[in-house]
Amino acid sequence: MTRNPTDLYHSLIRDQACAPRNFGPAPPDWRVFHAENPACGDAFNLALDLDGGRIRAARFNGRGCAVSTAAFSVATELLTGEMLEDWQTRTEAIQRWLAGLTPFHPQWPDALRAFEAVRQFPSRVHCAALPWQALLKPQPGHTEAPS
Amino acid sequence: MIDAQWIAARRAEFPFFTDSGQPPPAYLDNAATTLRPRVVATALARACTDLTGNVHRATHHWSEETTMAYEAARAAVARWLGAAEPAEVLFTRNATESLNWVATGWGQARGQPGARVLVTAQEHHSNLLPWRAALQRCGGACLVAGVQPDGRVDPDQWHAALAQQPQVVAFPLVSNVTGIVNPVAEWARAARAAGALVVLDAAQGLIHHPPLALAASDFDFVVGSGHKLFGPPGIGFLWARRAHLNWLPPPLLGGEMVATVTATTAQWSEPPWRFEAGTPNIIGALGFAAALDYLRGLDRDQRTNHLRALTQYAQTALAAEPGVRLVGARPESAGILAFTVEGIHPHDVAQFADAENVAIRAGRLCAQPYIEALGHESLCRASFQVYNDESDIQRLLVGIRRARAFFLAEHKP
Repeated sequence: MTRNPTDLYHSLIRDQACAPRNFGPAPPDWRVFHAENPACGDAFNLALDLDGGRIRAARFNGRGCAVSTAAFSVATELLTGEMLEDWQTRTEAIQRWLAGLTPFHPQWPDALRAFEAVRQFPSRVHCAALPWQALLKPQPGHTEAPS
Repeated sequence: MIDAQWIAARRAEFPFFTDSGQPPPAYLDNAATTLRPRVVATALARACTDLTGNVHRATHHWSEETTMAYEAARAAVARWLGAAEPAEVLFTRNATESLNWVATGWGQARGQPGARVLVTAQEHHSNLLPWRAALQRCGGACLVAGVQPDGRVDPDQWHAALAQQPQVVAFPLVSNVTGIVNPVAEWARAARAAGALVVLDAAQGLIHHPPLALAASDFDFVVGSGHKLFGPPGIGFLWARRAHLNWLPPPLLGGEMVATVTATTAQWSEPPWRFEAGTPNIIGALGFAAALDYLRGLDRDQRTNHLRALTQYAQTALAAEPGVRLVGARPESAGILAFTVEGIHPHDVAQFADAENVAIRAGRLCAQPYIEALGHESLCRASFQVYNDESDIQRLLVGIRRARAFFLAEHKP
C-alpha cells in the first residue's frame, strides 16, 4: 500500500506548518495546556488568554512534525473568541473522527476538514489529535516551550 | 563489497519480497524488527498443524512430541549462544520482558538501601526503566555513565561510576539509535573484576555479532528478542548462569512452575521451568529455532562484509545529500544509521520515504535520554539487513528529496 503524502499534507496543513499562526511564547498570566507524543518527540504548550470561560486569544509553543504543528496552529485560530468549555466537550468527538470512527460533525468549522486525510494514515492520527488532547490537560506552570 | 547475486538469493528466501511487486519494497527498519524468511513461516505453520498437546504435562504421545520439540528449541538457542547447558536459557516474550525479570528479581532478592546499578546514557528504555523502578523500591541509586558528543559512552565516566562499586552493571551490545558497537567484553571483564553482576542487553546487534560463547564469558545475564533475529514476535530469551537461577525469584506463579503444592506451601520446579509458568509460546519457540537455523546457514563473513559495505555506502550517500546530517555514525556501526533532515521533522521525512515504499523509523526510538544527550528531540533511523542493497538507499534519498522539495521549496527563510 503506497499512499501519496501530499494527500496527508493538505495545502492548509503545509501552509500552517511552514508558517504557523500564533506561534511563540505567551504572557505569563495565560492559562497553559500541554500535550506530547512520547513516540515521536512532539511536545507543545497551548496558552489561552481567558476572560471567564471565553478565549480572548490563543498561542502555542513547542516542537513537532508538520501535522501536529499545523493542528496547533489551526486550533489557536479556531479557539479564539470561543468558550473553552464548548471545545473541551468536543475533544473526544474530534479524536474519534480523526481515528475514522465517526463522520464529520456538521457544526464543526470547515478548517478542521484539512485533517480529513489523516484518517487514512493511522500512525499520524495522534499528531492531529494533540491540541485537542492538550485542551484537557491544564498545567499549573508557565508558557515557555516545553523541554 | 556488495554482491548483487548474493542479495538476490537472500530476497528470494523472504516472502516479503517474492510476494510484492516491482520494484521490491525497501525495508530499512530492521533495527525495529527483521523480516521473516520462508523457512520460519513454514516452521511456524508446521508447529501449528503438526504439534498437538501441551508441554511437560500429559503422558499421551502428542504432548511428549510437543515437549521434545519445545526443549529442542531451547537447546538450539543455548547452542547458538554458547551456553553451558539448555537450562540456562529461559523463554520470555522479548528482551524487554527478560530485562524486567532480571531487574525486578534482583531487586526482590538482593536490592537493599544504598544499592547501586550502573547503566549508560545510551540505553534503550527497556534497560533503564526496570532498573530505576527496582532501585526506587529498595532505596538504591542508578548511576548513569554519560556519552561523548560522538555518541560513544564516555569511558572516564563509566570507569568512575564503576569505582563506586555498583552491585549490577548493565549495558547494551549495540545502540539501537546509532548502531555504535560497545566494547562489551572489556566492560564485562572490568565489571566482574569489580564484583558486579554483568547484564548485557543484546536485543540490538546480536544478529551481526560474532558468537558470544557465553559459557566462557564474563556476563551473568544476557537478553535478546527472536523478532530481531529473523524469528517471530512474542518470543525472546533470558540467558543466566545456572547459579543465578537459584536466587532469581520466578516472575509468575501458577501451573507448571511448581514441584509440590500443599494447603499452605509450595516448592518450585527446577530451572528453567520454574520461570515459565503457564503454557509457554511453543509455536514461537519453534519459529525462533528455525530462524537461528537460517541464520547459521548464512556465511558469517559474507554477512558481515555485506553489512559493512552497505552501511558505509549509506553513510557516504546520506552525508553528501544536502540538508542531511548523520548522527553518531561510525565506520564500525552495526547496520544502523541515524540522521536528521534540516527543517523537516523526522516523522514527515519517514512519511515521504513511505510514499517511495521505503520503511524507516522516526521519533525518539525508545531512547529519549540518549537522543537528548546527542542534542536532538527525535531522529530518523535507517537499518540494514542481508536483503538490502544500494538501490534501497537511493530510494530513501528520493524520499528525502521529495520531502525537502515539498516543505522547503516555497518556504525558504
